[in-house]
Amino acid sequence: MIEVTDLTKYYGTKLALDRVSFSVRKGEVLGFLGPNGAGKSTAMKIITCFLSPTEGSVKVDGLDVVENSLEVRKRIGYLPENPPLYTDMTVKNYLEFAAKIKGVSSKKLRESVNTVVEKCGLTKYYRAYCNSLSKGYRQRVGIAQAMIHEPQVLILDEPTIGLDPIQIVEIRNLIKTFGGDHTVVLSTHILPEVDMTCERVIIINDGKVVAEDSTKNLRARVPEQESFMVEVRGEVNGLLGKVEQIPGVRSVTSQPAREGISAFKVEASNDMDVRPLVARTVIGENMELLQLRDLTMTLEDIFIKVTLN
Amino acid sequence: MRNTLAVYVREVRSYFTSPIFYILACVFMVVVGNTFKDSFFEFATKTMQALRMAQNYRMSIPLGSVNMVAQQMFSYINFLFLLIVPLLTMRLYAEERKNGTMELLMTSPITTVQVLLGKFFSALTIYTVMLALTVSFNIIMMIESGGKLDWGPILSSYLGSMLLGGAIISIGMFFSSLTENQIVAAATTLATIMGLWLLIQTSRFLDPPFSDFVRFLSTSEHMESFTIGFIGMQHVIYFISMTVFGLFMTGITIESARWRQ
Repeated sequence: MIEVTDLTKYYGTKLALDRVSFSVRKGEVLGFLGPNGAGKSTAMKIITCFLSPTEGSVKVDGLDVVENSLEVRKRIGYLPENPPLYTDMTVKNYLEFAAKIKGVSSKKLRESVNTVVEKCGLTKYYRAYCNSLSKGYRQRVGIAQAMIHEPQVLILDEPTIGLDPIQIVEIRNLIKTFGGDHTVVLSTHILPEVDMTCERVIIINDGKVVAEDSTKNLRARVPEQESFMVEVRGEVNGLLGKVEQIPGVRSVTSQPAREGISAFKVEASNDMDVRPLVARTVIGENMELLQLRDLTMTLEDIFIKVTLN
Repeated sequence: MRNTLAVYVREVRSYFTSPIFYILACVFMVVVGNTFKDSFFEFATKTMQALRMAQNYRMSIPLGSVNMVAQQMFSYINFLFLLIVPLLTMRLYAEERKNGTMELLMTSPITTVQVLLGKFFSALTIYTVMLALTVSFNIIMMIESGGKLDWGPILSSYLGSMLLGGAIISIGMFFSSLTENQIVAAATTLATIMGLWLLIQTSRFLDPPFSDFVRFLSTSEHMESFTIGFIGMQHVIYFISMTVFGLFMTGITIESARWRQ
């Protein structure tokens, strides 16, 4: 659905995107991950025809964003980083205006407005002025505007930024419902969000794609070994040696102790689960096992690891 | 057409919901009304004196036409618009940039020209509404002079004011498209249209052909003939080409933003 090839963008002499290539399949929800200033917004602005690429090409539904700009724009709904609201309009008037300039026919106008108002939970604020809305509701109006002409592609730039936890969950659930019918690209720097809403992730840093994979593969990719933290009551001097001898355990490192509780980190190969054996050893030494905590890498660790290299 | 209309309706509505239009229209009417009152009384006094002289000395003294009052009024109206239009046009693009709504317009399936025309005609509509308010003064003049008002020069004056309006609105729009700061947009517009208006003053210090060229560029030079009831094609063409040029430059600025930013 979206085909990005060797996309390069300069802001003056500053390089914002450096030969970025990726593609998005129809009906897929893609997460765009990266630290602030990595080039996420730039890439989205080019896909939505707001900016023109310096080099490279972007095709949406087989149409080039430069040559067939108007046709591409008909197929795309875009929520910029700040929802583009006219503060002197009511939600109703604003959505009607958005529908008109996006080419919704007058016959379907009322129906499309009603549909998005319902979908985005705006019924209560239908007649309110946009400038009286809270950040969360502005965001919703922004999303409603993006989907009012039933676009095939939705581009959402940090859709959950500045929202409270309940609103975040609501918006995420809303985005999840888009998958299947719509192709969705969303950017964020919040990792659990990608985990929860996206099927595939592109990590972008300094204008380059540094990783691209499904969330599951990405998670599986980095840790070749399993590690976990063990906490026991009392001194562990004798115990560490015994744990080290368990087959599969690669290393044991003692962690700083506190108030009679000792801790150590165990790293083991991931082809076998050594945790039951470790637990048994601890109990065999007549010590109390307080905690056995998995230290498998989260997306966060992957993110830091890939962006630092 | 439909897209242009959508933008136009939104803009006009926006003008009428903001207090700026009402304040400007109010100030405009007070100032025009006041100058109208002064010149009308002056004219009335002079006519009375002339009539008395004619009676006393039994000779005929040529009387001035009531159209002199209208002529004076229009020169005030046009000058006032030079101050008002920058305040009307400053928001057209600068506000969209500031609010981020420019992204909505530029990523919707609507062309730059459609947006441009919608905005231009909305400002021109507001301008026309203000100008139309001054018709009331002409009606007063007609009644008070016992129907001796010649409507020809008045209509041509209105045409001139409209042409001037189009030109200065398109200049204001251009400056609004350059910045996201409305104050900067208003100030640069004011400087430019005032400069064009007063340019004629410098022609005295220049030799031909430069003095002729400067006179040709000045808006006030081209306005003059309209107020005495003469519609010169070269003047109409001057204002229309200036309008088109302003719109063209605005379009280029907006389109090139896609590459510059």
